[in-house]
Amino acid sequence: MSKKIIDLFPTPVFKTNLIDTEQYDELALSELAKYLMSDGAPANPELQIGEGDMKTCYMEDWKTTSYVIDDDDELCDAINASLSQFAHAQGTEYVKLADSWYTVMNKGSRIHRHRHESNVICGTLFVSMPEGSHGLAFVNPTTVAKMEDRVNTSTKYSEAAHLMEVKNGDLLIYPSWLEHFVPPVECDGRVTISFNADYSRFR
Amino acid sequence: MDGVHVTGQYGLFPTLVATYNLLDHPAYSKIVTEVNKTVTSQHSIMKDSESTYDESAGNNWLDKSYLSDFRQQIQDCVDHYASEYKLKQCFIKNSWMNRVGKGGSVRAHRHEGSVISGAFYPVADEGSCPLVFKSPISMYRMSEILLTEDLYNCYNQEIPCEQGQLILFPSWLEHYTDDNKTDNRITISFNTFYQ
Repeated sequence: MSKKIIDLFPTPVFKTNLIDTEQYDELALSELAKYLMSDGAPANPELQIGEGDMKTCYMEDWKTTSYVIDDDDELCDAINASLSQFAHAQGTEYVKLADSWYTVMNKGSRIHRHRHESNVICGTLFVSMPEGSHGLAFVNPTTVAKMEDRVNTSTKYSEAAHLMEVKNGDLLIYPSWLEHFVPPVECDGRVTISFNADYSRFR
Repeated sequence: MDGVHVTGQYGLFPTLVATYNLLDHPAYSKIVTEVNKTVTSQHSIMKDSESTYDESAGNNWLDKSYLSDFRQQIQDCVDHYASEYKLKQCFIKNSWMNRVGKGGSVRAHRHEGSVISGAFYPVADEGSCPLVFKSPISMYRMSEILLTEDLYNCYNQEIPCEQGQLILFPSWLEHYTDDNKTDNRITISFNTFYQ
């Protein structure tokens, strides 16, 4: 008897490492982490969707005001290239980087589950991930339908959430509708830059 | 695409569908004989088609003693599916037969109160309409403007209807058929639940 397993309707998430793929310099990433940790900019209250010792700051204009891009079109280009590849893979119109912000999390802090409404694709660059950090946990969008599931062990078919572990320089790209969160971190100095991307013709 | 290096492309939270070819099962001819003598009647979920499904009379098409070997084969497939999914063991409960001819179809539905459901095609003319599953995540994609349809963005996914094939799927997954273009598309459907 022949049998075949078919995985239908997966949700795409891309991961690439900008250091390993030589799209970004390790030293520059380290300097960026130091800069963001010491940045005295006030936290943006609209972006405080977590709790604990953490700060989220909005970069109003990614291209002109932030340290990241002033010296570094390379990073912007790398992110836009990954966004294009993701859009191509999921068959959607091409998108461009829109708004972005950075988050510094210290021990015990966490970010609640959320999604990025009014956007198409979003992503997170992991600038500094000390030991005890966590990547991003994505929430299973099909759980709501599974009222009769009783599982022995969690699998990709049944898991309530999937934690993507990451390292310095990793870039995650995912659909904006996909809910995600950060479990409580067990270290100081977890630094990320997150961003939204939208169709360029709407901007 | 030049200059881009994706080191990991993940397809998270897929929905498990499995197919099994039972055409060579020794008891296959008994199933076909039983199909040919089964009386069906119209059912509201189907258009221009007939079924044995009847809540008041019970649905136990597969429970005849002379079909027990074949029923056990289907149960083995259910066990395989549950093992892949890591579900607790499920057992075939109710079962019924559908007869869809030319122009007939099955409206979109799911199987409430069941865990794993199945469709087995004992008789299916070549070119019979496929079983179509509706994406459970398309409702989230209001911001996406699609250029092409692919694995990640499709609204529906068709599984071809082939004689002798068993399809297992989660009972919560909505499914339907378009109009059938052949004279004979016969399905044995069933639901499962825990002990």
